[in-house]
Amino acid sequence: MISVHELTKRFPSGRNEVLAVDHLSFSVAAGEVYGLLGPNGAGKTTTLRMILGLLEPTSGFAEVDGLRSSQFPDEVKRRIGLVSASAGLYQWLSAREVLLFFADLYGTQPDQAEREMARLSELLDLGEYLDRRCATLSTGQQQRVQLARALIHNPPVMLLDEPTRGLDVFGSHVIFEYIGHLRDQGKAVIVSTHRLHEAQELCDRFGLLHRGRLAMEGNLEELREATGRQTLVEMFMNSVGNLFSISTAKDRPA
Amino acid sequence: MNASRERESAPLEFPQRPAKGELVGRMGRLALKELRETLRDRRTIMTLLLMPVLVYPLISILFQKLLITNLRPGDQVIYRIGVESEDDREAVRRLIMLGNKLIKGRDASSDKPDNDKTVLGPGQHRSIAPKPPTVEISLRDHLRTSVAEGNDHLGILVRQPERSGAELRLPVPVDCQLILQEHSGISREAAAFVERRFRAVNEQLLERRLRQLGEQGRVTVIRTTRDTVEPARGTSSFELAAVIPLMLILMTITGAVYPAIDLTAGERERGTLEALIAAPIPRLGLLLAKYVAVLAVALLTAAVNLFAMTITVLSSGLGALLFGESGLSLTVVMQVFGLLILFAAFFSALLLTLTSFARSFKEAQSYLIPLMLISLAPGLLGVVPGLQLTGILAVTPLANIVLLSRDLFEGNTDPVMAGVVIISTLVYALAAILLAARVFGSDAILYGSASSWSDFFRRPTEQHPAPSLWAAWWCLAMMFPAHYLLSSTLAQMMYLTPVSRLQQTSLVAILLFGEFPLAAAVLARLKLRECFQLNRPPMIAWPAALLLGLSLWPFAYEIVLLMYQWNLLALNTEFSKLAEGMLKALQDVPLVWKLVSLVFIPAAVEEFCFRGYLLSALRARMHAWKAILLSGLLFGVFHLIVTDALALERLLPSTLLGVVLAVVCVRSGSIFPGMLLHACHNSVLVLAIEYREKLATLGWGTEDQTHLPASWLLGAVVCAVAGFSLIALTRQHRIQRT
Repeated sequence: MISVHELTKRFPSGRNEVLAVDHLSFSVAAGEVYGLLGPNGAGKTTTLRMILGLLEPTSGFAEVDGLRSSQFPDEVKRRIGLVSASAGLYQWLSAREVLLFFADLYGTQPDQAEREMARLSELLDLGEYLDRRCATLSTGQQQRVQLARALIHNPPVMLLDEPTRGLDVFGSHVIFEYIGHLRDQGKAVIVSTHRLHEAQELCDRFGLLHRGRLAMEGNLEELREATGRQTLVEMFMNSVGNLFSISTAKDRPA
Repeated sequence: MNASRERESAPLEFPQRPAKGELVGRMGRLALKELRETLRDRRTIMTLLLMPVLVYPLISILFQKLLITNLRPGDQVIYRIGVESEDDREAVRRLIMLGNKLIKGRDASSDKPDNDKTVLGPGQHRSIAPKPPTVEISLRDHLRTSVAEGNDHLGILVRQPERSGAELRLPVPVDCQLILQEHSGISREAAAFVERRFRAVNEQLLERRLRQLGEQGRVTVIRTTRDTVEPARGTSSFELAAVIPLMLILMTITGAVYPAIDLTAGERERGTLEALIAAPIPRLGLLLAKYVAVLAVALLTAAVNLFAMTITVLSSGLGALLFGESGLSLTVVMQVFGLLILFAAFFSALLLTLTSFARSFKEAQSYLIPLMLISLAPGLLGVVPGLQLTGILAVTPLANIVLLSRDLFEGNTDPVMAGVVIISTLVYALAAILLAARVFGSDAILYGSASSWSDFFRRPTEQHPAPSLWAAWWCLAMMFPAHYLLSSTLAQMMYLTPVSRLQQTSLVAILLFGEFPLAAAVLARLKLRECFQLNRPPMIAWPAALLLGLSLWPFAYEIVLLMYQWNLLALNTEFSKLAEGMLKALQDVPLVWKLVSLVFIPAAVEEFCFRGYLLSALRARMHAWKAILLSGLLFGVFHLIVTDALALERLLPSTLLGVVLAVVCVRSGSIFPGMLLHACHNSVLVLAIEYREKLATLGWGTEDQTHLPASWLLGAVVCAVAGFSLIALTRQHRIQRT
């Protein structure tokens, strides 16, 4: 459902350039949850934005359902629901107005949007604050509305960028539980997160990004075999430590 | 994995690709949502409603205090009137006294207030000027100078019949010429004061005469005419009528600022922009929806302000003082609102462009404060006394709207200048929208990947075949004011000989239509050959161009003639005079110079610009026929303004010629046949004028404005059909759409 080929992105920075994503390749099938893991600045968000067609890749390409994001951005966007930690909600609109507005933006018919909203509000327990202004909702409630907003047009692909940032344990649990539900629905899901313990429980496969490059990829068994470590946290620390020492050695003048 | 494959094969229901109309509807609903969200914010309501409701009454009180009480201490308005002789002084004094008495008696009997008091308004009248105005009549040697220098508010030049002395022998009419400063409120008011009293005297006499039935004779005693003088240098007063439009414009700006920031930088700061651009709506569509919302709020603010201003002016009676005797009419209010729409369209786009750069509300504010200060300068320039809407001011954004609104309020609008203001503002507005679209849609702006603005405007590294639409429009936005300014400046250079004037005209044409697009193309690293369509045309295009070039002028002539005959065009005396003057001046110029300056150079550079640069930009973004029509229209608009006259009769023929030239360019893939066509067309006109006397002796004149002989028209039709048929045989040259 999602495939990424040699995806590269360089940003101009004064007279120089910063390499944010470096020849990245991976794929995610329908009904699969892919964990895109990595430290801050590893290129996770940039990768997700290029998949969605929000950023033009410097080279390489991303495809969703066989459509290249840079060539058919609107077609690709219609197939994707995006939940981002940095995303906000319209403070002067109610949760219901936000959901119906986004349903309309994605071309969902009004009756279908109402049905979908009823279903999502039951699943995510939005009922009691559906008609409250978004400014008055708590962080957890806002994040649930965000999830509902991303799902209101029933997309086959979900991109979740740090969906649990700023949430308490209960809030995170609701989100992760729902991600499992998305897999059961047959959606292709990419989750970018720092919560490695939960990611370990939830994701089918993992890609570990460091400085824009895919340092490791595979399911948990494959990664355990390759690294000799048991948990993602150990693998992550080990891998990032190794890569860090390699890159610093490389950078050191001879 | 099998399970997931099975799930993959099951179709997921998600919205299908929308039809074009549905997409437009969705963008409309998006604009409505933006507007709804903006209007729910109390800060918008504050700017929108509360400010005008409070500001205008406060300003009206301030005006009255400044204008009325400061005129003379002691709470009394005194009109200073100048006359030329002692006899005149006595006559004027007696007439005003009689008029005063008549008005007083009439108002007392009808229980109506004195209309003069409405200058102050019923509420304020008692508190500000409890006594009615009085007059001070002085003897002057030079009435016009005295009024121009502000020594007198009004001069009255009395022309009495010889037989009458100080005593007026009615009913022999007395002519009174009122000399006033048109732009001075107190001067206009003094004139209205005197006129009303003279009218009362006339009316009394009419009444008396009508009672004497059967008696013949004239009933008018005093005939008044007005004569205006410009204020003497250094003595002019502050122009109040220009303050009102400046305020309206500043309030409109204020209304648009908050939504512009909130819908761009504000959305980015709150994190809602990413969700919005992740939706399947083109970025241009998103920007247009935001633009519509900002424009709607700006217009709402403008409408509320205009309404509040009108109500304040009407209720306070400041109308006559600010806008002359006729006060404020609904037509003028609507015209000014039209101008505000135009201005808001331009400024909203400018605001969106700047705020799109900002990553936070605070950053956007820091961009807009300098803009507001910069905007104040041309706005205040518009308030400078005696400043006329001409030259560079007519194409200076904001100042031109302030001055045109002032002229509208004062009822002395020049249609040519109005045309220049409207066209230039429209061009600027479109340029600003296109720039905003470019800024809003860039990755650099959305994700702050550019380190500075210079990165954003960096020259592209790759060569492109055609200019972008925004670059082409910006080139036009620079060219239009430059075109107007250079043509007007050239017209002012009276000392130029006809030949050197022609040479300068040629240089201006080369600079405008050659250098501007060439510089734009080089800066944008365009492939010059493709951009300017400098290709070798098919051979068949040459005879086609020749036939069309020789056969189009009768159609242009007949179109203009028919427009006059069907009253679609009023006889443009100004343009006719200008054309006659030009013809006279060019009479002794050698033919070769005329051909170089009026035929070959315009044909070459205009094709280079309009069919080369502009048409390429349009064709890269739209269907060929749309590009042909639009480029033709723009070609027509550029021919609309000839130095100081608005040549409306040129719009349709020039547009049609532009369309034909564009068709030839699209079919042949080259601007060169168009150059031949253009040169032939122009040379027929130049030669017809050169040999018009000889032609007239042969009976081939067209000066009596009659239709051309049928045989000529038939010949032209045959040639044109042949030309079009030949050009239709060529294969359409395609441009890669972007």
